[in-house]
Amino acid sequence: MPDPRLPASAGPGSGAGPTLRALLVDPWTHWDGEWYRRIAVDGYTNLPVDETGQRDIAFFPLSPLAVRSLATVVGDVDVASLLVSNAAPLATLILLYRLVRRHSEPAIARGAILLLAFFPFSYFLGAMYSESLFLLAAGCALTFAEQERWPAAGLCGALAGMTRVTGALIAPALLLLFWSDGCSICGGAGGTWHGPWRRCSARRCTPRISRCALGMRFCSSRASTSRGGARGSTW
Amino acid sequence: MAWGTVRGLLTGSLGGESILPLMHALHLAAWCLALAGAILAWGKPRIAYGAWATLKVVASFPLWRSAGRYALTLFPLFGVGALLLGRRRIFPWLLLGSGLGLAVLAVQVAHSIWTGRGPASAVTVSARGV
Repeated sequence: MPDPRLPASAGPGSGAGPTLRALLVDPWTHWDGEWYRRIAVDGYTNLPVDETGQRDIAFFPLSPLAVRSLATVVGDVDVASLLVSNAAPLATLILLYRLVRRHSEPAIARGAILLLAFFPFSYFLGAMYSESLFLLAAGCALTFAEQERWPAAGLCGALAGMTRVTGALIAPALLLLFWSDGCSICGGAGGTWHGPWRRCSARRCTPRISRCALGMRFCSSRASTSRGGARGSTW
Repeated sequence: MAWGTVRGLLTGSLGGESILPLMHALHLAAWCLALAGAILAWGKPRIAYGAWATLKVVASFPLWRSAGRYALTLFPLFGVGALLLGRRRIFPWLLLGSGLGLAVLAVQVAHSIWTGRGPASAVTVSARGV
């Protein structure tokens, strides 16, 4: 059912300030953006829209959900979508800088965010697409994983999975980060493959818990978090 | 099917469909770059980033006509790119060229020019797997 608080499928060029809207909003809300806007306004219908038989259920829900939520505040679905799409990449650039900075020097981290910002296909980050939210969710997941805040990492990974079909692929990455974490007891071997059932090979380490089953890691990650999660690997 | 599309692109025919070869070539190049970056990302700094990137690149191959979008979301690769190129003299020029490409593509998309058919409806273009 359409939300009565939202403008009912305000079409391109409609509404206040049509010229400004045609210049700044409409060019970035077409194609797949049209689908997301439709879902944000009307919800999922699961009805074929034309002879091709395409249905809206192919589009994942987080983006339209975020847009719909913000649209109840700003009063315009298209503007809300562009706010979401443009704010998320800004946060992502900060996350990327911090993520690379953990393993490398500031110049490399700056280079990384410049490469992302000027990537030829980065125009998707300004459009009503799901890429910007996916980047933010995946960036949060990896950042939390680096900080060994696993519940938050898992939550953000789930959000990434709600954004795009390939979002689910972040789950193996988080599991690998979980397992390849440095030894939380001696602090050594960070960033190297530690293996889920292996003992820490550092000489000075005498692990009290050597099996790396799920329960073990929850136990050990507290110890490493207290160290600040320092890592010896470099990017 | 994807191989057939690539073959069609290289031979200049996609089942009689009007295409913009440069656009497809850019996406194909993005996919190849992403694959190279994914391989280089193994172990830099964590094995998980390389694994994630490789999984995504391989999984996106059937949709290579949108490879630019998929490559965009692999942001650990940008760290690898900065590591490999960030200290080289070519880096500012690379950014300049990349920024120019971004500007051209942004103008192109803003004017609904995507696959050489001119302005298109959402349904028409989405049906093509974009």
